[in-house]
Amino acid sequence: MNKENLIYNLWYRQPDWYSWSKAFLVSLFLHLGILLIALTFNTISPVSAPLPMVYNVELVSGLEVPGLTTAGRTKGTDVSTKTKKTKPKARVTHKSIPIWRVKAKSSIAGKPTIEKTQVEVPLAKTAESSNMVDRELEKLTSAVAGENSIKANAPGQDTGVKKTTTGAEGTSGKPAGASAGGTPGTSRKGETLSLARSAYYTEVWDRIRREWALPDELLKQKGNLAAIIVIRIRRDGKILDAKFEKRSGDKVFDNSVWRAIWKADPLPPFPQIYSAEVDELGIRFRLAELLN
Amino acid sequence: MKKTQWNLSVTLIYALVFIFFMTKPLFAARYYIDITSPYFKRIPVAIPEFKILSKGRTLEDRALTEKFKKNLPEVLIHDLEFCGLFRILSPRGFLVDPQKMGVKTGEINFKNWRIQGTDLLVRGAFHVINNTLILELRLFDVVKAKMMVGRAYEAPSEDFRSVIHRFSQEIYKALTGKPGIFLTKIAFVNKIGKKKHLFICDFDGENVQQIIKKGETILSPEWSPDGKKLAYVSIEDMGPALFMADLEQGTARRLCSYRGLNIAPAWNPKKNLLAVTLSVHGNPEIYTIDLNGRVQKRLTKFWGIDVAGSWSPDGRYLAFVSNSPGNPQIYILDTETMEKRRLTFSGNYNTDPSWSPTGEWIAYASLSRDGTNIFRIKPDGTDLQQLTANSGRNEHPSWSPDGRMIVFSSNRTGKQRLWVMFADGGQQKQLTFLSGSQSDPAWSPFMD
Amino acid sequence: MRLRKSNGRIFALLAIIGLIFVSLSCSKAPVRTTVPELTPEERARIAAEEEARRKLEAERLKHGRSVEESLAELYANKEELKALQEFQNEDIHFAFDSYVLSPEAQKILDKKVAWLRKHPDIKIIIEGHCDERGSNEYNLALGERRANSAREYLINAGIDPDRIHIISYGEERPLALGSDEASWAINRRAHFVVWKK
Repeated sequence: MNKENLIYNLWYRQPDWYSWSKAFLVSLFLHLGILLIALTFNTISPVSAPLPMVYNVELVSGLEVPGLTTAGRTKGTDVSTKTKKTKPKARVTHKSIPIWRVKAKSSIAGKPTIEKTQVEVPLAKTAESSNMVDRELEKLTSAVAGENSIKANAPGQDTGVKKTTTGAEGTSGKPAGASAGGTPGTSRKGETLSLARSAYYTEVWDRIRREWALPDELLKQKGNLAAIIVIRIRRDGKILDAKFEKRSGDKVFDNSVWRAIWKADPLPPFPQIYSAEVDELGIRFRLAELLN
Repeated sequence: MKKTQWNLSVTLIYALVFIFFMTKPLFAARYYIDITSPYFKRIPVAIPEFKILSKGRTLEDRALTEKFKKNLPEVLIHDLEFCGLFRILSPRGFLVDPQKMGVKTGEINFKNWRIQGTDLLVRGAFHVINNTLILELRLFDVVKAKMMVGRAYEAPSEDFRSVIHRFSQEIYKALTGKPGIFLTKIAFVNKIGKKKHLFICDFDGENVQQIIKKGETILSPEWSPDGKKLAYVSIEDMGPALFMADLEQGTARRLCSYRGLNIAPAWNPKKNLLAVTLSVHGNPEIYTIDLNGRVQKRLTKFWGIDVAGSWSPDGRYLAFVSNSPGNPQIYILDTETMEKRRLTFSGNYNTDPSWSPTGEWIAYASLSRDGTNIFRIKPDGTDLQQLTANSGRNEHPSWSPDGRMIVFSSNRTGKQRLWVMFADGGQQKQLTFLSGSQSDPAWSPFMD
Repeated sequence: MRLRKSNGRIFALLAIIGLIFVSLSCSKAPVRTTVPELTPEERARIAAEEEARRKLEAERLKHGRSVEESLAELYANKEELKALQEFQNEDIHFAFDSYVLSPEAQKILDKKVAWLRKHPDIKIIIEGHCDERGSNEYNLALGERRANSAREYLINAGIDPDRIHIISYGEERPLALGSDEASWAINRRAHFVVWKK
């Protein structure tokens, strides 16, 4: 009887939605608190993605098209992504894994939405790059336009075809299929936006790089020095602010990279197609392995 | 209750799902780009003409002022270019008349300088009063718009070079944290006619002074580790003898003149002794002597020729020349274990070893059919590199105290002069232009 | 009723918190752009820099600096006594980097032995010399070894050691001033000087 009572009391103890929920909320907030701390600490400690890279833009001169790899699959993408291995219409090299696509809506003011695509921008020389970029852009836009027409005809296949060219795939849990099948216009804009952005970053890279002067022979003994500066660029190219995310520990090195950033100001303006007002970019300065 | 349970479970699931999403990056706010090496190995610096604070009252002062307007920045520019770390921007691009431009932090439009692409700016202002140079110099970080180093100097006008060298030293230290070579000297021998005399000049070949007036054939100057004394060889009637000059006091005294040879002094950087070659026992061997010339220890025992060379920076090892294989080669002697090991195997006439002050390299001269050339090799015998080629006779290498440069003698222009180059053989340029033949250079240690 | 409402509120709260976190999440997905190798443009720039440097060096060479020249004094020649002309003028020569006595050298030394026997009160100095190649220090030592070789030969022939002194001048006192094989051969010598009576 006692036992029964006990069980009864434990299990059916109180209507208690309230105390349960109280307890639950407490635990939830604890969890959130810990996560918050973890995230903020994330900004201080060196950046190391705990997960495989989700976006990789490689500016190397490679024009090979290894074709679609199955690399995109490895991230547990199980939603409707029957990627048909149709031949890519555009000559793009695919490198790695994108994640799910976020609808191209600017939900928060000032922060651009980020499209993830698998487009790799082959870059041999700076001068040529823009041509390459433009060509790729054209191919892609035409390809996607072509798809749209295909889509109109064969709705059932549309997801697959689109995946071929863009390579974007959905991941579990999110109704990615829905958005992918949605507004093609938006997604197309999304693709070219990212391409132009990569090209822009290449220019930024070049501009800042050309201003970095450092007699690195003096720092040979100090080993691998690296510093990261995060800059905010305004649409017209002006650097709004810059701050050290990570200092190298060597004043000479740090001063030289700081000068490099500000001497490159103002940077070139954003490409037309990239409509954000401000962009944030991290520049990692390192001393490459010195060949004695 | 079942319902509660159900709600609870749903909530928990939702919470778990929610938490699960927290660990997934949903979208990134920031990209990173990598820059893996500097584009320029030299820091750009702008050095406009110095500002004249007042023209000067006397005729001489005015003449000096006019001369210094050009000379002062020229010396500074030459210094900074010499050490290989700076790139001097051409003044033609400067927008403002330097005589009107400000000299202090508040007076300078740093934005304009930033646009020129320079990292650093030097502003100087001076005037000459009664033959005394009064000079202010400021080094600015153009991006930070801050002064990095500021100095005011007052010196007799004929010492203007050393004033500028002092500021170059400050600039170097501010940018690298290390001492530069701007205050160092080079001792050398200049042969005029049949006489060889001992001279000292500044690291840049200027300010040449003869320091030993007596004697007719002087060779092999060797600095003491504190830079205050010079050991050298003077050939007398009875043969070569060793002397020591005290530069502060301006005196010289005999160190040792044993029977036979007293040559090739090598000053130990850590102990008060020199390795020398004596033939007092019948054969040229290496001995160590103290600063009074008394023999401490005999280091070699070989019926052939052993000639002292150069100590390692820790004072333990001695690189020397021995012809035990039949021709002169360089050996290394561990003076603690008395073990000797051969260093050079390439070429059949290797002499003049000089151990770099960082300990990393041994430079030497190698004679071959193509002439004599300077090589460098690691003390363990690896990584042999040729530094000069196809240019006559290049001998007697001597390292700068920071181990970045080498001074040597070369007759590639038809006359024997002193030349300098970087430790990897880069940027060889002529240092001295005196008449006669310059040889036997020895780069001083860091001087204050 | 009441439960459901609270339920709804809780869920709404969670949803809002979720949204906030999602929007503030600054997890980084680093984008790495690798740097391409030297572009031809860069190569051109480096070449231009080198060219500019070379021009600067050439200009320096041309420029030259002049210092007041000191008058060269005539180096006092050694005393020459007619009777000893042959003794003193006939040097023995050596191969490069060697102090071995060649057969010709030995013949000349034999003559010197004879002359020394004739003048038993005369002391001599043997000077060792080298050609200009090689390091000064090494050549001083080599010169001494050369003088020593001659000395030992004389001693072995019976001359009193006390009569023979040696000195090395290394490459410091060349006889021939050219920089060719012929001059160098002349300079690699041992020279005999009468010291005093």
